[in-house]
Amino acid sequence: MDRRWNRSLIVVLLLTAGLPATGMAHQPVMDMAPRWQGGIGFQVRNEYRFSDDLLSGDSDVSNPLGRDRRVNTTWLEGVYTFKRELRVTAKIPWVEQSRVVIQNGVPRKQTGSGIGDSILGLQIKHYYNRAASTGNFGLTPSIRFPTGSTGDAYPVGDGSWDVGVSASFSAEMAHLYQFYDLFYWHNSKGDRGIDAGDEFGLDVNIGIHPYHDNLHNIGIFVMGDLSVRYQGPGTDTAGRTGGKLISLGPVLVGYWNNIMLRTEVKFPAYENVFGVQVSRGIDFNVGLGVTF
Amino acid sequence: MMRTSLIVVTLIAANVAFADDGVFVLEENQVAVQVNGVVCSFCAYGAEKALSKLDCLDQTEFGDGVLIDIETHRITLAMRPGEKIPVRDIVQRIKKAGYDPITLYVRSEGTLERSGEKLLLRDARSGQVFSIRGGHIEGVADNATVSVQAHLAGSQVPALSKSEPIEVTIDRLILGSGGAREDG
Repeated sequence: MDRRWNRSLIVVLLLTAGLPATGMAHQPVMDMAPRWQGGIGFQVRNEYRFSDDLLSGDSDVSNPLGRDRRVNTTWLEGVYTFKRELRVTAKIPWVEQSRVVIQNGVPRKQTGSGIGDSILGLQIKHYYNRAASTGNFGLTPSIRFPTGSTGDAYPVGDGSWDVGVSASFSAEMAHLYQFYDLFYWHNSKGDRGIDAGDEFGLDVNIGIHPYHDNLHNIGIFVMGDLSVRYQGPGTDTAGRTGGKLISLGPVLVGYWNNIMLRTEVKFPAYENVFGVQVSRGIDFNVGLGVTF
Repeated sequence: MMRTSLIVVTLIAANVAFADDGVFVLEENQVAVQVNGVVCSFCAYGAEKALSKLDCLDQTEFGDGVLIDIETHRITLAMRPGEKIPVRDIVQRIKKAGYDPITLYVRSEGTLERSGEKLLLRDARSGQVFSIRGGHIEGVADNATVSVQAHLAGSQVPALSKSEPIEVTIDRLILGSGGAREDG
């Protein structure tokens, strides 16, 4: 690689950044439960992702200066069911993150930590019950509040008020579960030049329920997850954002009475970024939920 | 005595078809509810929690007196002997938990009483009175002592008057004695 190409690459690298963490902040809070009036649910979910793969469009490019990104987000999520058809959900993230960016041709580590941007949603649900199945249709308008600071070198918030909406459907039989969620986020312009593009997404979970003990109400689900994301071109404090991502992975859910443990891994199957960005990387999720 | 036994055997045999049609055998001191949608194991906890607070339950059975079977979509309640069945409360709790109770199955043992057009069954232990749909049990005298399995539709429960006996349809005559009609 000649020097001119090297310089160009460095200039491009200066302007790049990854897909924002908010993209994966959509996972619904306890879809089927609590469906009873006055029901409360809490979930603590940790999401960790790391990558040092550099992409130009959908191609891998060399990463001689060691750009990378590491994001660890712990979500405290809550749901309250006013009545079967109406519930409110809240998600508050605690973010610990770091990245290596190139400034003046030199790799520099940037970090950020603290409460990120919180999400409040109002879910309108229509449940149905049949002899051998149950399910629901949901419509969820949401607001993302700028509760995260934009002061860190790698800011945990973007300083903007964003609005979103999702439409979902899920159905469950004794041995089968399926969930589909289509969503849209309109990202407004934030602080420090952060201006993330709007985002569209589709989440699909399909799986089986191979074990259930009626007497102790213990069981497991094994599912596959498909996540599709498109985020319009935008910028953050380190450069360009946005792109397309399709990820796939397994999901394992175990439950015991009112306690649920969910683990999942998302592997990027297809990724195409605007400009040059660090890949989103593999996404690990572990969540522990309880309903009352 | 032999004639009575023959009648009972005949009636049980006649109800084998019912069993093949999905009417299961309810054990003593149990109430069962066929519930639409109760296949969601994690969220069924809401129904279990709500039902387990019923005072009439025998908490030593099934851990908390409630067994939810997501395969058969049936909730079984273990009753304390001699407790009245709070039919209305059971239905309301299941509905509030987000499910639709379709059929309630009860078991009762007691003496039949004729009250005008109605044939009533007074449970010997709880004193709860059931009204037999149709006003008679085929081949059984109006003052007989019987043990029956019966059902009522979940949809009829909200309309039940508190003072009226609960109207049930007999699924199975488990035992009948005393004053049984002669069969031909």
